[in-house]
Amino acid sequence: MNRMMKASLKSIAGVLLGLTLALIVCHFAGESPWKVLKVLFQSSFGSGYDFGMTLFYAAPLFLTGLAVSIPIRAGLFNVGGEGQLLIGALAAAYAGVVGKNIASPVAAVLFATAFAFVAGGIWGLIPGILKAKRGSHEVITTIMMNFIAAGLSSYVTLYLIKDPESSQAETMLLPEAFHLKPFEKFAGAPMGWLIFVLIALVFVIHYWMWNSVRGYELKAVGENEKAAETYGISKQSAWMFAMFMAGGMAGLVGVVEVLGNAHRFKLGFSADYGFVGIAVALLARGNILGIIPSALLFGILQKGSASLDLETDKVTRDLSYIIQGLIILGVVAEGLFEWRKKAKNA
Amino acid sequence: MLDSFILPVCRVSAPLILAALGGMWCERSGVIQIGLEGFMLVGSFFGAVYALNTSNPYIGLLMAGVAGMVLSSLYGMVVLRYRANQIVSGTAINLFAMGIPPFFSKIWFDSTGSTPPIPTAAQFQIAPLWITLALVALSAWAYHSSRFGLRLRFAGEHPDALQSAGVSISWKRWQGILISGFLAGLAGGTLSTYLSSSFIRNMSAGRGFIALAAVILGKWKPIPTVLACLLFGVTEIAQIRLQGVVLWGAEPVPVQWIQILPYLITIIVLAGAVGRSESPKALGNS
Amino acid sequence: MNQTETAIEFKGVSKTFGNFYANRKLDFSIRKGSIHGLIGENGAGKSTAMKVLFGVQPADEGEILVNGKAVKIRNPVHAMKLGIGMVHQHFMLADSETVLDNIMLGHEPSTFFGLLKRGKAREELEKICKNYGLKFTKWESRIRDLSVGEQQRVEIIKLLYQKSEVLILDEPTAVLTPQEVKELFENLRKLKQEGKTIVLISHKLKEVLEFTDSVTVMRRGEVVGTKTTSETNEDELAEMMVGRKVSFTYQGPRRILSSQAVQPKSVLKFISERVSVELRPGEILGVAGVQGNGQTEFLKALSNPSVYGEKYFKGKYDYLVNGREIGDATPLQLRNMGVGLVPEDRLSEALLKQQDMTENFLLGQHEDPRYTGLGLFGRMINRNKVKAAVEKNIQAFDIRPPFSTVWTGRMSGGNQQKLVMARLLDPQPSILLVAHPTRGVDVGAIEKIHEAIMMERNLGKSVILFSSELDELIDLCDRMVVFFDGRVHGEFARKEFDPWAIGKVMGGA
Repeated sequence: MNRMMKASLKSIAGVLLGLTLALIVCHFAGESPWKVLKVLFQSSFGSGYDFGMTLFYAAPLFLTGLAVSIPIRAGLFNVGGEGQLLIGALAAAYAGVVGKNIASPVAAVLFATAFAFVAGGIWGLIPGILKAKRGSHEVITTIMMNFIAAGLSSYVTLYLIKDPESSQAETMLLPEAFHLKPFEKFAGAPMGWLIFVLIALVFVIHYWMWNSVRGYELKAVGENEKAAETYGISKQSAWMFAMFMAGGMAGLVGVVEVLGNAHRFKLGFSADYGFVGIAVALLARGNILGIIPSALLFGILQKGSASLDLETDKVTRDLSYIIQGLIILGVVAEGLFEWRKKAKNA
Repeated sequence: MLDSFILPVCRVSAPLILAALGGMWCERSGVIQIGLEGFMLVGSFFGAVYALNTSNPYIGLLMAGVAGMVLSSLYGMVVLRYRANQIVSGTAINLFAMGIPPFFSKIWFDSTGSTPPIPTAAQFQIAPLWITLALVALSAWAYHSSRFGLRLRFAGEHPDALQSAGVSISWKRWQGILISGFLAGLAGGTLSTYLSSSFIRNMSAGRGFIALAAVILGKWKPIPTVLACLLFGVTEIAQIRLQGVVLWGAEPVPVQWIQILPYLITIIVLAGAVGRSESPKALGNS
Repeated sequence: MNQTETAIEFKGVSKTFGNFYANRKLDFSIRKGSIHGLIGENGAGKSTAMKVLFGVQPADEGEILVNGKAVKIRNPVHAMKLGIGMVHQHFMLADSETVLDNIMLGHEPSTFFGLLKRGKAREELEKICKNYGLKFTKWESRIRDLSVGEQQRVEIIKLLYQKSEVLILDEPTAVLTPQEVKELFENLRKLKQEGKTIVLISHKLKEVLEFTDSVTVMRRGEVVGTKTTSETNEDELAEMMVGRKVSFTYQGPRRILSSQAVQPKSVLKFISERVSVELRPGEILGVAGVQGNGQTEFLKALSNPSVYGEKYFKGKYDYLVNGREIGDATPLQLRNMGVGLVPEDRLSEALLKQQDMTENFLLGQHEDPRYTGLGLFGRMINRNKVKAAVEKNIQAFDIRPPFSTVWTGRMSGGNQQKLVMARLLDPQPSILLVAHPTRGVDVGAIEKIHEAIMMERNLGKSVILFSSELDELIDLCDRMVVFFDGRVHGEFARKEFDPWAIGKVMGGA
C-alpha cells in the first residue's frame, strides 16, 4: 500500500508540475493562466453535453490506456495503439456491411464488438510475433504498423466500402441495429451505458492481471525473462498474448466511435487516442485501476482545450499537446522528486 | 533520368539522411532516440519563421538546427539528469513538439499552425543537398577515424570501459543527443525552406520515424544508414510517379499501397536479416 | 634486501556499509617489483580492499601510501594517474571494436583536428610487447574473435600502455584453461622482471603458493597476516584463511547408502556423446570443474531439455528420469515428475527482484493445483494459500526479514537463497538439481543450506550438486564427476576424494 501511495503521489506531483509549466507558458504568451484553467474546466463540466463529451473523449483512452498497460506488464512498450484502434474501428464498420441483416441490436453490437476486438488483436499480434520469433524491437515495428494501418484504412475507406453518397472520406452508414444509444441527459453527446461497461472492463482486467495465472506469467516475463524461462514460462507466448490483448483493447475503440458516435468509419476520426493512451498508462504507473482517473484527466484536457480556440486570443487547442508532453516528462523523470536520497546498501 | 528521378530522390532523401545521421550519433552514444520526429517538426517551423524574418534561408536553416537542439536539450536533461525512461520521454517530446508550432504561429501569425509562404528569394535552390553531402562525409569520417567517434561509440558499446579510461560517459551522451537535435532540426528546416515554401501543420509527417528505421536498417553505421534513407527516398518518389499509372489489370495502383511500402520494407528487413546483436550494447541503459 | 621499496601500503584502512565492516583496519604493504597474493574466502573483503585502492569506493578511515606518499584516491582515473591499473573479472573491452581501439581509448594519439593516429599507437604497442616479451599480434581483430586468454592479455597490454606500475588482477584464472593459466603467469613473471608490481587476488591456495613472492591473507574483512610465500605452506594459509572457529564442513549425520550395492538402478540418466551421467537413488552426485568447461550447458539441458537439449546437445542424447524418456520436457513437466532446480545464478535466473516473497514463491509453482484453481477468468491464483505456505517456510528456514511482503531484491544473498531452497523443496521433489547453492552467501546461511541438502539426501532423495567450490563438493558428495573441455573427464567415489587428484583432473590431466 505504501508503494502505491508513493506512486500516486508521484503521479499527482507530475501532473501538477506539467500543468503549472504549461500555464506559465500561457502567461508568457500573453494569456491569463486563470482564464485558460477556467476555460478548460467550464468546457468539460459546464453542462450535461460538455460532461458527456468529456466522457466520450475519455472512453477511448480507457482502452488505449489498457493497450499500453497490459504489454508493459510483459516488458513490452506498445506504441501501436493508434494503428490497432484504426483497424478495430475499420473492422467494426466492416461488420456493419457484412452483418447488415442482423436485426437484433444485442447480436449486432456483440458481432461488431467481436470483429473490432479480433481485428485490433491481430494487428497487435503481428509485432508480438515478430518480437517473439525474430526479436524485432516492438517499438519500431508498432510505429511502422501505425503507418501501415493509416494507409490501409484510407484504402479500405476510399476503395472498398466507401459511402457512395458522401463527399467525405467515410464508409457506409451502419444499420440501425448497430447504433448505441446515448443518454438523454447528455443532450446529444454520444455517450451512454458504454462508459460504465468500459469502467467495469478496467476493473475486470485489473482483477484478472493480478489474480490469474496468465497475468502472473506476463508479470514474471516482464520482470525477469531469464528467470521466467528457467521456471517454465514461455516469454514468446507471453509476449504474443499480451500484444494480442493490447491490440484487442485498442480495437474496441471502434465500438466507442463507430457504434457509439459516427455509425461509420471516418478517416481521421482519432484524436491521437493511441498516443494519448501512452500518457494515460504512464500516468497510472503500471497500476491498471489508475487508468480510470488518468483517462478522465486526459479526457478533460481534450475536451477543455477544444474550446481554447474560441475562448482565448493567444492559445489554441494544441496547448493540450504541450500539457500532455510536460505531464509525461514530469511523471517519468524519476529523479525529480527524490531529494538526494542516498542508496543505503551499495 | 537525372532531373526526373535522381534529383528528386536526393531532394526527398536529404531530410531523412540528416535526421538519420543525428539518430545514429545519438543511439551510438547509448541513448535511444524516438524524438527525431519532434525535433524535425520544431526545426521545420522555426526554419520557416527565420527564413521569413531574415529573408535568408541559411539563417533559417541554422535556426532550425538550433531549435531542434534546444528541444533535444530538454530530452537530455530528462533522460540523463533525471534518468527517465528513454522511449517514454521520447514519446513525450514528440507530443510536446506537436504543440509548439501552433502555439507560436497563433501568436506570431494568428494562424493555427502554419506560416505564410516564404518568398522565393528566401528559399533554397540546391544548397541543402551539398550541405547534406558534406555532413555525410564528415559523419563517416568522424565515425571511423576520429577520437570523438571512437569515444562516443564506446559510450554506447561499453560505457564502463570508457569511464575507466577517464572519459565522462554522460558528456558523450549529451553530445550524441545535442547532435541528433541539431541534425534533425536541420532536416526539418530543409522541409520548409527547401522541399516546400512554408511550414504547414504536422509537416514532418512521420519522417522522423522513417529516419529512425533507416538507422536500424543501416545497423547504426553511417554509410549503410544513408543508403537506407535513399531507399526510402526512392519509394517516396516512386509513389508520386506511380500515381494513376496502370501496372497490372485495368486499375491504377492505389496510392496507399505505395505509401505503406517504406514501412513494410522496414518491418520485413527487421524481421529478416538484422539481428539484435547489431545494436549498440548499452543502448537504453542509463 | 631490507631496503626494498614499498609500492603500496595500507595503514589502518576501514570501509563500512551501514554497520557492516567490509574492511576493518587493514595493515599490509606490497613490495615494489614483486608478485603479491591477496587471498581469502568469498566475502573476506579482498575485492573491497582493491576497490578502495582503485578509487571505486573511498575508504572511511586510514590511509593508503603509494610509493611512500599518503594519497587520497578519488576515482579510478586518479588511481590510473598514480600508476595503479586493474584487470577486472569482467573485462572492460567492447566486443565489437578492435583490439587497437579498445587499448588506446582515452589515451589516443591524434592530430589537432581529432584524427586518430592508429599507426602510431600500434607502433608503441609493438614496442611495449617487445620490451616485456609478450606475444601479441592481432591488433586489428575484434575482441569477440579472441579467446578469453587473449582478451586478458589485451587487458594487461592496455594497463602497460597506460603506464601502470602496479597491476591488480582480480581472480584472473577463474575463466582460463590450465594452459592459459601457465602462460599468464609466465607473462606476469616477465613483467615483474621489468620492475612492475603485481597484485593477485585469488581464493586458490595452489596458484598463490606457486606464483607469488609474498601473500596477505584476509578473513571476515580483516588482515590475518602477511607471509613470505617461500616460508609458508598450504596448511598454514588454509588455517589462516578459514580460521579455527568457523567450520565450513558439515557436522551432522550422514546416512549410509546401504541400498547402493543391491540396487544399482539409476533415478536419472543422461547419455550423450560427450557427457554421460547417472544419478543413483539417495546419493549426492557432485559436478566439479573449472568454470566454462560444460557444466552450465549440462545443467541447462537437464533442467530445460525442451529448449537447451537441442541448443547444446543437438538433440542427440538420451535423458531418462525414473526410467521414462523425457528428452524434450519443459521445466513444468520436469517439476511434475519430481525434479526440482536451484539455478546457477540466483539474481538473474531464480528471482523476481521487484516482487515480494509470495510472488517469488509462486515462480515455477504457478500451475500447482495446491495454489491455483479454475475460476471465472481462467486459471486463478489463490494468494491466501500461497501466503500461508510462504509464512510456514519463513519459519522453517529462518528467512529474514520474516515478512512475506518484502521485495526479494532487498534481501541478503543468504536469505534469497533460503527462499529459493524453500521453493525447491515445497513440492517435495525426489531429484534435486542444485547449482552453486552457497555462492555469495554468508556463513550462517551456508550451514543452513548444507543441512537442508543433506537432510533431503538422508530422506532418500537424490541430488546433483554443481559447485565451483571443491571443498563444498568434497564435504557433501557421495560421488563426483569432473568436467573438462565439455566432457566428463573423471569420476571419483567418496573414499577416493583427494583435492590434489581432483584438481589435476579439473586441469585436464
